Amino acid sequence: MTKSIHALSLAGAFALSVSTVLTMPAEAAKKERCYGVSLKGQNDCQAGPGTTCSGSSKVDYQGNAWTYVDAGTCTKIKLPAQANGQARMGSLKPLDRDPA
Amino acid sequence: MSNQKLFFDALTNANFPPPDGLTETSLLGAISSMPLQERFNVYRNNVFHSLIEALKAAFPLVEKTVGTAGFKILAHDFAREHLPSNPVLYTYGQHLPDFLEQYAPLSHLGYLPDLARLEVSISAVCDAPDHQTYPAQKLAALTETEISKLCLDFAPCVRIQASPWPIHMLWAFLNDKGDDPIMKPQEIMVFRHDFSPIVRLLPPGGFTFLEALKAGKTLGESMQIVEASGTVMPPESMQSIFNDVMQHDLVKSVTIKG
Repeated sequence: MTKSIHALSLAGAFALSVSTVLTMPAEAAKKERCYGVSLKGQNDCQAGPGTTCSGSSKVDYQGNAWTYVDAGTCTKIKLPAQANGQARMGSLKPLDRDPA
Repeated sequence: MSNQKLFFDALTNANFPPPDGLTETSLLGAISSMPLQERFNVYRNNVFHSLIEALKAAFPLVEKTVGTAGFKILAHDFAREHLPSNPVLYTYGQHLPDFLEQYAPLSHLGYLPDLARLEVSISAVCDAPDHQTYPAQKLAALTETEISKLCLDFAPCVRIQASPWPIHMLWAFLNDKGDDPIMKPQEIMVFRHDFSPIVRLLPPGGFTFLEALKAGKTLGESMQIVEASGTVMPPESMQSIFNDVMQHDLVKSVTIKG
């Protein structure tokens, strides 16, 4: 008898948590990795600040260096055009332009 | 003796001479007219300075507890015994908690090894790989029986720790977020939400419950293990754990044991 009461409270607690999370508003502050937008030496890194790859980019807008930006904004960031006149865009994938 | 052994001995112990083969024309000698021994001392100091800096970055709370000067001595003593085994410095210091257990000069701070363990966990969850989120909608229609047979596969960014010390109070106190710790055992869960580590106090039985779940037991089995350990976990306690698990997407996948 005790056992079934406990099982019921376990199931109840679990179901309540699930329904709570389903009714929560979608989170606004998600971030995405944006390649080719960081200024020289100001890139983020998967391993976080204080490690060797954070802040290691050698040139402005280095194509394989990334920075965390608010989700959905990466490809809308305004950047100066490249030396050959081609537009420079942020990208969710690593880029070949502006190598280190 | 091999060149590597000679180099290693000279690198870790100031009483050893610089290894043979380092001459005035080698890389170390090309720059200045300082004697070879002194130049090698500079090199040795730079190696240890970088390791001490890496440990400072990974263990800010241990440093805050023992002070800057004390931490430097501790870090130097540790680095001499535990040189990095991997070029990736963010994993460096994993053995510091065990080292502290044996470290006589700080043995009066009994909680220090567990504090270091917490900081190892914080680094580990920050560097844990991203995981695919399990959609909570899929769990909404489960029956009571199905829930008790549920196995949760936790994301790699979840760690748990049981301590005989008030580890959560210590953590809060050292982060200027809490009062003076009072002596009692505490259990914690450390996880990452987006890019921030979160340290959560677990209710009594929480560690045993999560440990069983992480070992692949079902929800029902895990609850029985908690009961067998003599702890009563009220529904609110379980719910506070489930809330964190669901809200912070700490589950990769679920299975229902037949």
